[in-house]
Amino acid sequence: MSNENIVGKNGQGEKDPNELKIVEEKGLGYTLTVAREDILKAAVGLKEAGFDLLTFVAGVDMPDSIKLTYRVYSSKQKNQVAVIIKTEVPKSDPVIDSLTPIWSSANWHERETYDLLGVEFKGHPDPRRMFMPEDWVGYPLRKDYKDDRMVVFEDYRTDRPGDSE
Amino acid sequence: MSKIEETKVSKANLAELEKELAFDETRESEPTLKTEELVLNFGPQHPSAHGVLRAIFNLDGEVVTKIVPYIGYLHRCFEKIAEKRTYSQFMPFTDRMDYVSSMHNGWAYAMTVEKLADIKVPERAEYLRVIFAEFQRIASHLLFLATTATEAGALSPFFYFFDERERILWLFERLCGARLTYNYVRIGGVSADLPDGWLEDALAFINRLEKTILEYDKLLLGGYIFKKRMKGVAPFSAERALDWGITGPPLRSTGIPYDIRRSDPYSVYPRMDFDVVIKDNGDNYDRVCIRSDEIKQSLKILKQAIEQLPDGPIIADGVAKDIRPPAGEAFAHVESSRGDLGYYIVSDGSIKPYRVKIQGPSFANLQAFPAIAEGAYLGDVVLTLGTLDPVFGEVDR
Amino acid sequence: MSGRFSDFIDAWKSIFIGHSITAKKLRAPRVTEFYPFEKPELADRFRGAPMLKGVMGEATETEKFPNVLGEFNATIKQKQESEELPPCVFSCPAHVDARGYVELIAEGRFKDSLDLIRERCTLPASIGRVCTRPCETGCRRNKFDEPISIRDLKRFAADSNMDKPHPQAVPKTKDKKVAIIGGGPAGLTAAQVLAKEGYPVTIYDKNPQGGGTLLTGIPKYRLPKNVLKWDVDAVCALGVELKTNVEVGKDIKLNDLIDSYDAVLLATGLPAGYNLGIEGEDAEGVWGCLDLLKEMNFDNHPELGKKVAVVGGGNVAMDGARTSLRLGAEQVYLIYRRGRAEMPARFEEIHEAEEEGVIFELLTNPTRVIVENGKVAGLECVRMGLGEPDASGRRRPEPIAGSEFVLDVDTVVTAIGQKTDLSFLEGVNLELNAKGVIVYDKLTLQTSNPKVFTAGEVVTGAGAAIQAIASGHEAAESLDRFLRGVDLKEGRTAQVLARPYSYGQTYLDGVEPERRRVHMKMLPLEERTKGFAEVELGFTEEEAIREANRCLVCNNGNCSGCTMCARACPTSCIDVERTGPLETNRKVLKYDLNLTKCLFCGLCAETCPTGALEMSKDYENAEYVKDRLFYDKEKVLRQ
Repeated sequence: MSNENIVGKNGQGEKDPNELKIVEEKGLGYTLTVAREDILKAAVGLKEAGFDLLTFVAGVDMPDSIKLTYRVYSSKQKNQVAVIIKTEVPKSDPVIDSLTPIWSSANWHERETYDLLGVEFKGHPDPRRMFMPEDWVGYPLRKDYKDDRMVVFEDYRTDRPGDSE
Repeated sequence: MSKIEETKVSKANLAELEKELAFDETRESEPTLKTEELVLNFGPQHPSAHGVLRAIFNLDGEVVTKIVPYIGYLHRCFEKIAEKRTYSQFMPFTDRMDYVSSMHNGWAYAMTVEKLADIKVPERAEYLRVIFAEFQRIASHLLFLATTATEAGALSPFFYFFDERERILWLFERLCGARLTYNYVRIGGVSADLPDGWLEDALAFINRLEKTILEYDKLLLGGYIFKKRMKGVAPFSAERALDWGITGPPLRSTGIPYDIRRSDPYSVYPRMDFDVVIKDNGDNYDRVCIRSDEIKQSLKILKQAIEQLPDGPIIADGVAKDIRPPAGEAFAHVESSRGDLGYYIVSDGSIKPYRVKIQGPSFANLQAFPAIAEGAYLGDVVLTLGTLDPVFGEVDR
Repeated sequence: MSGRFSDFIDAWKSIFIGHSITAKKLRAPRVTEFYPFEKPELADRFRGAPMLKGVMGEATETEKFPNVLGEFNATIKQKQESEELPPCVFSCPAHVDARGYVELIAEGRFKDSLDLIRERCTLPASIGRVCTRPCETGCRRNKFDEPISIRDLKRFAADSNMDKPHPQAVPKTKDKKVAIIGGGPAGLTAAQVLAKEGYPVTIYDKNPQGGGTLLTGIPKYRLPKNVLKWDVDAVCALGVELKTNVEVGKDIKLNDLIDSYDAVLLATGLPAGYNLGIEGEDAEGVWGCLDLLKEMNFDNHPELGKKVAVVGGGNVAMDGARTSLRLGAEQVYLIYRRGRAEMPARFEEIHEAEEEGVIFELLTNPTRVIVENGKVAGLECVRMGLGEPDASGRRRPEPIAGSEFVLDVDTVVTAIGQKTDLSFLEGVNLELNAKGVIVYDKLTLQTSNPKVFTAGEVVTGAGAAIQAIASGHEAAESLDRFLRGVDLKEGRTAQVLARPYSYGQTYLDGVEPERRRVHMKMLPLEERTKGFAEVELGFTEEEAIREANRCLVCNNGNCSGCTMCARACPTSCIDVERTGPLETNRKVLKYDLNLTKCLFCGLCAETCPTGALEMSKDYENAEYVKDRLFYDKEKVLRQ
């Protein structure tokens, strides 16, 4: 399935074919950047185009927002094509639609993102924490997470009163 | 039961007796016989839990009706640790994710950083990485076969398989000094070259294992009891497998030929000639047999790689000790023994990564565990968990 | 009941059938044998707990590599193979013991340091100013931050001893006489080595002082001539006779020398320069750069115009350009036919020339000198584009048609290469090859006449001064063997060639300021072009000791407290402390490795430059090893 085909199929399901364009990014392969309102539409479009294997959901904690990255494969073709979907969620309102109705494998991945980064997924069938105990407060993978029990790694370069040589 | 004792059973009486004692479904259960679902905690400490898995089973008799897994008992915060370590300092931590097949973790991590920083790995290093990854795959599958046989009740194959695996671990120890957490792969190549006499011993082992694995197939996988125990249990269709995001041998056992070494080739795999093993049913037996067949394919790849091994440097020239890739993102994945192992690294241009996301195949495979195993008997549920081959270092990180 | 009963029977039937099938299979003979029973042994590379082999304490010294005639090359080769040779020594063409003399400077023993330098490097004060320093490129500290300023420390060692008396003359114990033609680095080195062995050596040089190209080709602001004279005097003080202002071929014939001496060494170097080969080259105002520099070094101030164009891209061209600025030129253009990356000059030469105001016209080639009344009135040039690489690996420049332009200059200085001047070989029976180079044996440096040897740039082509010195050492060994009547090749190890290193790029913004390299003070920019005062001002004693303390003391098996292991450790389990940077009595104060945090990953042992930290191959409980991590409990503090 060539790139044009993918874009073409996407264009069919969406309002505006130019809205969602798949570009090829260095180091990542085919990437699709969408706004957070369009994530469900993009997912449905990709699923119909034959992308049926969702392998991960990652969150990256940026200063003002949390970037989410999804990766989907199409197993139908000989050379399985993969597309990375990128969206962004502002920290003031970290809510996004869950993709569990479309790909069941999003279930635990979204739970993990909720647990570690605090992104809420609307419509998730089982919204509870994954690794942390149920009553944990705070989202550990965020950059501003503080905890007295954390053992801070002492980097020899910066955190010690350095010796002179 | 006194009736039976008193009467002499004869052929004529047998028919009458059967009718009398036949189970009458219309009859109400006796008021003293209560049936309810038993909630069983399959605790994190369990010899068959393949690590630390806590699951809550709802049992109706022997049938497991609902499974709710709880994970997180081995969560060591590697992703947060990675943000405070330099790229080369994080390398030993990658071995400890999927500790049963650690070469693949290091390789995936090194590939991602090399993609970020545009480093070209020399040929000999690529071949060495392939050789060790395939040996690692064989070792991991041997461990899988050993533990699966033990869970099915066959206790002696454990020693056969572990003896073979021990030879592989001795080969690794001669190479890099450790048996489980090697710290062998470096960014830009590998850390040490082969010692003298290693290749001859490796070839001797490969030739031996090729014959021995066929024997083990006959003994274990061909055994009547084993087949009866495993065939037809917990079948899984291809559509459901794709939906649940399973990769690796469980997916290939349902018939989808998804192998990253073929579909998204990396390193020198395009030059290797091997088959992607697929099976049809996706039941327990197929999931076990596919791993045994993968051992044979790995042996094939190993022979080709050892033959083609070129001379040259083992690490790329001029890779800084505190490497500082340009700002950006990269993703790279390898076919580990468990499935699609990928690293997604976001770099902000400093010596420490901004975010390292590790995608372990066992995490995605374990998600599907309730869907696969619900409805089977309790003994089979544990066996099904075994055939999915989760390693909790990867699941919890 | 019957349902259950029949199930029960079925189950037992399966078991019996299964057993019989398996039993049938087991009756078949096993194809492969069991593994033989063998006791497992630990592999060579087994990674146990990390362990220090030794620690720099009081009175620990590294192994030094003095020049032992006839054995030096074999020693270097053996040490390299057993990994006891530091990379700085290995990278130097002459294998000067850089680690040794830097250590001696750090301990405050400047005179001993100079003696060690003089073992292999004949002209320390001069080489310490002009060397291309491959040792610093090979310095292992490049991997971490900045290399040690090995060359500048050599200069410091020489400068700080300039007021001390010269070495004493060595009594002449041999009666075979040696003549050396050419008093440059190669000739002086051979003379020093042979004089130390007791041979009477005579050097014939056509210049008024010794030094060769160091005298005539390197300007005074890089190498003051009194410094060079001090160096040459130190060699002559050993008992070498230096006959200056004697040109072999004119004042004395080479054949007479060959007859009257027992051996002759030709080390005349590359005194002549190439011509551009363009029209108008013979006009007044066109200088060969070497002639210009020679005139300047002999204090005959040449008259240059106000606008000078220097053609060339090597060190000689840079020297010519900067000399022109100092001689009063207002605008100096540097014309080079390739680009910046292909310039063969040293990086700091290019940088300093730019700082002083030389205008670089890169990718330009002169086509014609415009002559008016016999004087230079302009230089016509054409722009070049880079095409395919040629034999030397550099991209071949090709002229871009139609891009000619005229540079308004009144002086043209050419510095496009050096060549030999073999006019003194007229009438001498010595074989030359097709290109006009003397035919010589690469190992023994002997020519077609068994009494005549060659060394230095006259046969190897243009190179650095330190390479000429290395060649001089080889020639000295050959001469010594020849004069003793021993076979020249038997039992002789060839000179060990250095492998070029390439460490990755390091970024310095994370390095603490105390660990940065000490930068040498230079003259302020405005004052540089006013005269010929030396631009680099040298180290003070404090700076030298501080810089020498940065050395990691590689490959000697003793921990030097460099803390590189602590920086490489993923769990930060190492704590190292050492005496301060100005302390001449250096020792490691504390080395603490927390075995409960250690992952046994081996990154620390891999990083350790001295080879002191090893993974111990200790299989037993690491607690037993713990004691060995703290070196000699009385001397190293534990907390």
